[in-house]
Amino acid sequence: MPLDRRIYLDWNATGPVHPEVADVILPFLTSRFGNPSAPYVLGRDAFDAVEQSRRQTALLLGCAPKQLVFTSGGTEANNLALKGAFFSGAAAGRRHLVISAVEHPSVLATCEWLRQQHGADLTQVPVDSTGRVDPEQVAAAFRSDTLLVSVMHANNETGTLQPVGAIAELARRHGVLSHVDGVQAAGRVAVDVSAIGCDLYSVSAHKFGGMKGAGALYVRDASGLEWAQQGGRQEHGLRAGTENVPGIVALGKAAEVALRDLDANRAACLRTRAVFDDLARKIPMTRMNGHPTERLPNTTNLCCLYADAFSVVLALSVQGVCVGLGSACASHAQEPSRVLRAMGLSNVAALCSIRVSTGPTTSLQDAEFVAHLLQETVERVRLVTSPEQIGVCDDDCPCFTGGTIGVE
Amino acid sequence: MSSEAARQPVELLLIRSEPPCRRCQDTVAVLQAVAEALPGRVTVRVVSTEDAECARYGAVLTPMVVVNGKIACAGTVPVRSGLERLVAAELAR
Ligand SMILES: Cc1ncc(COP(=O)(O)O)c(C=O)c1O
Repeated sequence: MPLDRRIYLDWNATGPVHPEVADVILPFLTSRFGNPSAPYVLGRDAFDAVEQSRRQTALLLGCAPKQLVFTSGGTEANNLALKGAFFSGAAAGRRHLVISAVEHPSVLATCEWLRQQHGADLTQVPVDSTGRVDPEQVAAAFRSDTLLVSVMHANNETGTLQPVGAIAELARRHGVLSHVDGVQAAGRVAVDVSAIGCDLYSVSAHKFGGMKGAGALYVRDASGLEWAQQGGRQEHGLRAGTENVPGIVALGKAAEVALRDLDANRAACLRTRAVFDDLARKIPMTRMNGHPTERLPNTTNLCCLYADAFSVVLALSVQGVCVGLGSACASHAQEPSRVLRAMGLSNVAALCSIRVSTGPTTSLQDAEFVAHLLQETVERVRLVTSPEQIGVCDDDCPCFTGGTIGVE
Repeated sequence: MSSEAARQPVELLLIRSEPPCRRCQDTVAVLQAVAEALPGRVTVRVVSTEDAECARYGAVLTPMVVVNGKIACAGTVPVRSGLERLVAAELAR
């Protein structure tokens, strides 16, 4: 199957660079390649481009440009936020962190590392069956030594939106810092960090038309943070290392385009999402995982009970269709999604769940084609898979992951 | 489809691990039983994950069963009765 004949429905994993963004990147790879720290014209030019991107990105998030630190993406932004706050706060005896049970691995694993290596205390607040956190339960977890709460804006697997404003408000009242992983939300739903009232907010460019390997952390007040990375004085001394100028330029342009097109993109995504939401009624023993309304406009997570999700995803892939299998990071393991388990799904139900995430350019025709194919595939897989075998692996049966999805 | 095409046997392709795991061996037995029940109408082919043909299927979880180019299951031994119904549906096309 040639690559260009594929139907891509895994936009929460990543998406294409927007054509208008691609156009502005090239000069920064070839002629405008200066180091922003250099004093001569070529360096100033790169510096100015980075600062323009900072202004563009600030407009998307509703903050001041100087409150943004560019990073290598969402993972680094989350690491910086959590470690930066912890290494500063722990010195004052505050070692307790509160997160939700459905955070991305870049938040969960960072907190776990802080717990195991640096004596942090960690509380995970549960979610309801739609994947939502109750702000009151977050507040109930606060203690006198609580330093920070981190709850994501939108979940990558289900698209469920969290009440981040209410959580930030409660955190402020308790004197607790609040971080929001906004990687899936920024560029897709309206974001205003000052209205949310959080102290830290992470974004990643490749989720909204920019390049992989570029992101930003909004820092309301940098004085409360200790910075984990040492070196040069880039990013006001907050993040050492020569800037990824092409990636940063792309981030800024992607932010500008995403803000301009926000309403149109939302409407387009809602149209194609509806086709997949509908499948919960059309395919027997199928339901939608996530919040019915408080959800990203592009995400439908479907549990097709007794249709092993790995088989379904591979079967669609051979037919040129790319859909997600829970979290991308866990996609090669036969491990049920931690997020879906936290929402109360059984192991088998979680192993029978797939994620369809559309983009602004997904056509209704493609969505309808895939919906039909998905229904057919689920029926076929159900026919030949016995429920007891789903997710079961023999000791001597190595999962082989040498092939590459999407390449032929 | 024409009756000419209808006479084409259904291909059952097994992608197995290298060396073959127990479930891969169990799957061979299921595929052979299905083929033997329908002489001349079903072919069975086995390739290992080391085979270049595998790349077409993306990541592979063994045993993986492909019926006339469509993946039926991955990582599980297929249920014989279900597989027979799939084969019947292919033959009826
Ligand atoms: C919710 C969430 N946070 C963080 C990340 C990590 O972002 P990046 O890929 O830029 O490191 C992702 C990416 O999948 C995500 O979905």
